[in-house]
Amino acid sequence: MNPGIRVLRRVGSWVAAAVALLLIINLGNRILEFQRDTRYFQRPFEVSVAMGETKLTRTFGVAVVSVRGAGAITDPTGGVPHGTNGIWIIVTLRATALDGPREIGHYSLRDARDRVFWASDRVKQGIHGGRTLQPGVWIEGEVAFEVPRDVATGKLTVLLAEHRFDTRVDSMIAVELDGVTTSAVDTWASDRTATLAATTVIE
Amino acid sequence: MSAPQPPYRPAAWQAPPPAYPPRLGRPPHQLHGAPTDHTQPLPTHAPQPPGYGAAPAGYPPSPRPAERARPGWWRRNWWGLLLVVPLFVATIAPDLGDAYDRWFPTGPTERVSGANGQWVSFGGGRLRLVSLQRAVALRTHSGRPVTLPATVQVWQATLEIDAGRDAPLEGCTLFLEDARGRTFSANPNELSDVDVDRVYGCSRPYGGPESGPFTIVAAFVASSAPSAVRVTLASELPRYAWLTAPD
Amino acid sequence: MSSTYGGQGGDGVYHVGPYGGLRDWLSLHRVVAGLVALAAVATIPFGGLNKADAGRYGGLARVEVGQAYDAGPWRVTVTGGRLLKDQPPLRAKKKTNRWVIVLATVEVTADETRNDTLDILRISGAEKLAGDEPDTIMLRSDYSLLPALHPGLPEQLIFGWEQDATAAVPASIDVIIWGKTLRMNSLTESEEWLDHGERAVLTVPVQDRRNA
Repeated sequence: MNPGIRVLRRVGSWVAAAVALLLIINLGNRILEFQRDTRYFQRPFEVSVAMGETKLTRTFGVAVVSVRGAGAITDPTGGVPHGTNGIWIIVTLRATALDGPREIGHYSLRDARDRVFWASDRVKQGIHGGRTLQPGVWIEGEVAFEVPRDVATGKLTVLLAEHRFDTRVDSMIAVELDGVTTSAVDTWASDRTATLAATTVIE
Repeated sequence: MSAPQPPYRPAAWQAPPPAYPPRLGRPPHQLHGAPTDHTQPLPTHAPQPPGYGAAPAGYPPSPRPAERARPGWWRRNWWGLLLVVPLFVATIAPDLGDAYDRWFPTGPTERVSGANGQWVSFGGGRLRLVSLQRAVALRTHSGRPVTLPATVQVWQATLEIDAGRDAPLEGCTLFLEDARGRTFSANPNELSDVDVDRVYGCSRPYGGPESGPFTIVAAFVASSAPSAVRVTLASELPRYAWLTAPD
Repeated sequence: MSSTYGGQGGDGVYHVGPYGGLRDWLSLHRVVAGLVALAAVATIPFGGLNKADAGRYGGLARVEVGQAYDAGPWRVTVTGGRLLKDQPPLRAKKKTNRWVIVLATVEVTADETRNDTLDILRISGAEKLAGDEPDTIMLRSDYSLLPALHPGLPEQLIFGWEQDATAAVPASIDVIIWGKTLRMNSLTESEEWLDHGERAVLTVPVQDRRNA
């Protein structure tokens, strides 16, 4: 073979390798650009559970027992009724820890439009906000959420996780609520005397 | 142009190559020039200088590359493959210490314990479990009897602590531990309205002795029978004290 | 052009080097003037020749009292201003302080509950305030303090700033609506509400109700 051609071939193979490398890096960058954001990739692992069904996560166990609503609610310890421009959704749930003292830090409601409503900070909540669960000791309590009335037109899901804000790649219980319909919401809205139940030890 | 020509094929495609004259050790076209084979008729053009590489016209075509004796892929790349090992180590080694610090010492994994009811040195002081008893007939702060489900037991642990005023041990966290290793925290919400002692870490209680050893009583709820009291201290992790009651 | 550096020297020979003419022409005055002119020209791409802004908030959107403004995660409608004495449920950190109050309706238009209500409003034109941030934010309905705001639920809020009793009584104040932008955080590579800054301004008359 002509030595010039041989040198050309050798150089050519290096160039081809470099080009291939650049293409791969470029392709990787393109994939990164097209990816949805980190929050999506690090989203919690949702475990869908029906109402009434008990589910154990890595650190706690929980069951959503029932749901009700009201136009105004009063703390378990008394005080003034808290009205709302929307509707109060009150979820009754049972919970326990599995291996050691734990809190369920994250309580939120997600509507069909993917809007997320945190548990209300306007009322003194019994089970949300500082309640420590002990292993094997089941408690029952209520959590109140304040939402616009139009959430009743689609499905409404309770989301529960151990950490309030940092839910990245953690397990999250998702319980779709039954019975939150437009007519139910209309009925609930007229109830302005509801009181949040105190948290009790049941088992 | 008259007779149809066969389609063009590079010489390397033509198989099998004709046999070389037996006295030629290797194909004449290979590296470092072609020795002239005088048995062949002279090429029509001027001979090329040695070292030019290409076979003169009239020489048999090149054999296909696959037929040359080439070393295998592993043999050709062994040094590169070998390099992968130290490169891999170099990639993860700088983070190993950090990963260890982040994950290993964060949990209580090293138990420090003594004989039942005996002193255990921990966190700049020493402490022991004086008694671990189930509490019954509890009352609320307003004097009403406490009703808890039968499966929920209230336990009270009495600890004696011997530590200086500023010993790290003051900031301890107390847990009740059952036979399965599950832990229950002191001052549980379940007893918030119940008339039992509350503890503030392992700090000296109000109204207790100003110096020397002192006693604290921690209350717990548990769903099973306890086997020990676990004492943790952030600065001591992964070590933790494991106190058992006297026999 | 005559100088001691170029031109015909005393020996009758021209001493003109390659830069002789330029060196001749340069003087301290001319260098300074040239640099100033260059600096002036350099500001042109950054708006150096633009008409000067009309006051501090000339670059911001102007809105009116009662007009809704979309500032990113929240839609804000400022409805009025008040001057109040310290009275429950307000509680001034300094007993003699009074309160400059802004009433506004805020609806979260982001898709998740927000607890950064302190970031929504700032005021200007009132003297001797305790700080830039509001000293209190309450729901008008039940005086819930620093309430989280939920998407799709407009709330009437009371924003309060403590003002020293010796300050002049403001007849009106400028209320600045701050906003945020949902964009990719280049550090965490996740979408976040960032770039907290001034978005719109309005002048709000302050009703003195200290004796009401």
